[in-house]
Order: sequence, then structure tokens, then C-alpha cells
Amino acid sequence: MSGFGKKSTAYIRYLIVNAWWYLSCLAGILLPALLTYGYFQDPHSDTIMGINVPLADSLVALKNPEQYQYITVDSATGQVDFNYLLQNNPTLYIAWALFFCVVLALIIYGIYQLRNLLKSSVNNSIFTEQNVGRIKTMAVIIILIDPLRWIQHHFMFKTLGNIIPPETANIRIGLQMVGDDWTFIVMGLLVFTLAAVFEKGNEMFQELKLTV
Amino acid sequence: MAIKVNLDLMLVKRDMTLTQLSEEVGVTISNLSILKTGKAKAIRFSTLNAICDALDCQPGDILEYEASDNNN
Repeated sequence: MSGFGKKSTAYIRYLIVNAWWYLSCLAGILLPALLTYGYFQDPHSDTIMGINVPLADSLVALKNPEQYQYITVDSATGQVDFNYLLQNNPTLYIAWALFFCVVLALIIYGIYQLRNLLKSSVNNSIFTEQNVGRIKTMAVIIILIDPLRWIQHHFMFKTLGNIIPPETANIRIGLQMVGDDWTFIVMGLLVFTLAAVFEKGNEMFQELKLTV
Repeated sequence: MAIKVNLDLMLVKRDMTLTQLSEEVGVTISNLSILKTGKAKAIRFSTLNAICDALDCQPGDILEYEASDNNN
């Protein structure tokens, strides 16, 4: 860990990703455990977390009619409690929990690869075969995001749409530019990693230029 | 850098110019100048071999280790 002496940008990025990785690991342990606990032990517990499903705009009514002057509602997001899902459709609950665990495992594995990539850049050994494999793995995981979203939409949200009661719906008003997921953060970190690779590559090129 | 290049000293001893050495060794003058001024980060064995051959000397005559507090 010779490079750790210098507080380089790669080191700071490594610390951020490291913290993120440990938090994901914690989530990876706690959430499946809570889902299992909810299913076997405490079917009437409070909601652990909800699933957002798109709702038709006809279901949405603002409290104050004057608010329609300022807010246009084209579609809204409803939220289903896990508790409700568990009581009404246990099969879907299990399927969703398994799907959630698979996605979480993929995310954790991707972050682990990113963490190791940044660690190697801090240690000045970025151009290795392992790192090529790590970047390819991360690329595959990023490519898998859309097919997983498709599965989520077609096999889970559509089933949920049949059982969702309108009274449990709530509206979330957010900026369209800011995604609900972490895609942009992951992309940003990957671009930063690429910058670190280019930084090192440039250093090596300069060294090569001064090799007689 | 702790490694000092004594190419200029050897050139004086052998009464040679950098251009002559460049022609004999097959390395550009600018690269030899980088080596002579101590700006080079590395030297290939093939270059060192050619220089030693042209100047009829040992690698130790061209390169010298100079101990310093900060070796980086």
C-alpha cells in the first residue's frame, strides 16, 4: 500500500467506494434477513420498505383544487406495503424477495469489483489482467440493469397493478433529472475510475517518452 | 534522482561530440541529450550496450549511484 501515503484523488474515491461497499454488505445481510423474518415470524409487522408502482393519473386527486394551477399530474407512483403483499399474494412476495436478493447480490459484487479496481489504482498496479476482468464484470452488470428492469416491470409490477388498492397510493413529486436509482452515481464513479486509468496511463506514457 | 549520468565526462575523455555518438549508436541527439542532462527516467540495455561499445567503456563509467536523503 505504498500509494496510500499520498492522499490522491484515487485514494479519496477508494474511500468513498469502500464506505459504499461496506454499507451495501450491511444491507445485503440485513434486508434478506428482515424479508425472511417478515415471512416466517411476523406477518403483521410494520412495512420494511415499499415497492413503487406506476398509477394512472385518473387515480390521483390533489387535496386542494387550487394546486392544479401549479402541479400537472400525468402519472403518479403508488406504493405497496410488503405487509399487504405478504397477506394477499405470498408467492409474489417470495418472488420479489428472491429477485431483490439477486439484484442486491449483483450490486454488491459490482461495487466490490469497483472497490478492488480503485484499490489497485491507489497501489499503482492498474494495468493488470485482473482489472481487465473487473471492468468486464462491471460492464456485464451494467448491461444487466435494463433486462432486470424489464423483468421487474413485466412480471412483478403488472401483477401488483391488479392487487393495488387506490387508497394506499401516494404521490411523490420529484425532479425528472434526478433518477430514483443509483445508475448515475455508478456511472460517475466508473468515469472517475476511467480518469484514474488514463492518469496512470499518461504517467506511464511520459515515462516511456523519457526512456532512452 | 540518485543515479547520475556521466555521459558528458566520457565524451570529453573520448574526445567525441554528441552528434558523433548519436551517429555511431543510432540514437537521436535529442534522446542522448535527455540522457546527458539526467532527465531520462530509464535506459534500455540495448542503448547502454551501444553507448559502451561506442565509447569503449563499462556501464559503471556512464552511470553512477549518488546517495541522497530523498531517493524519490
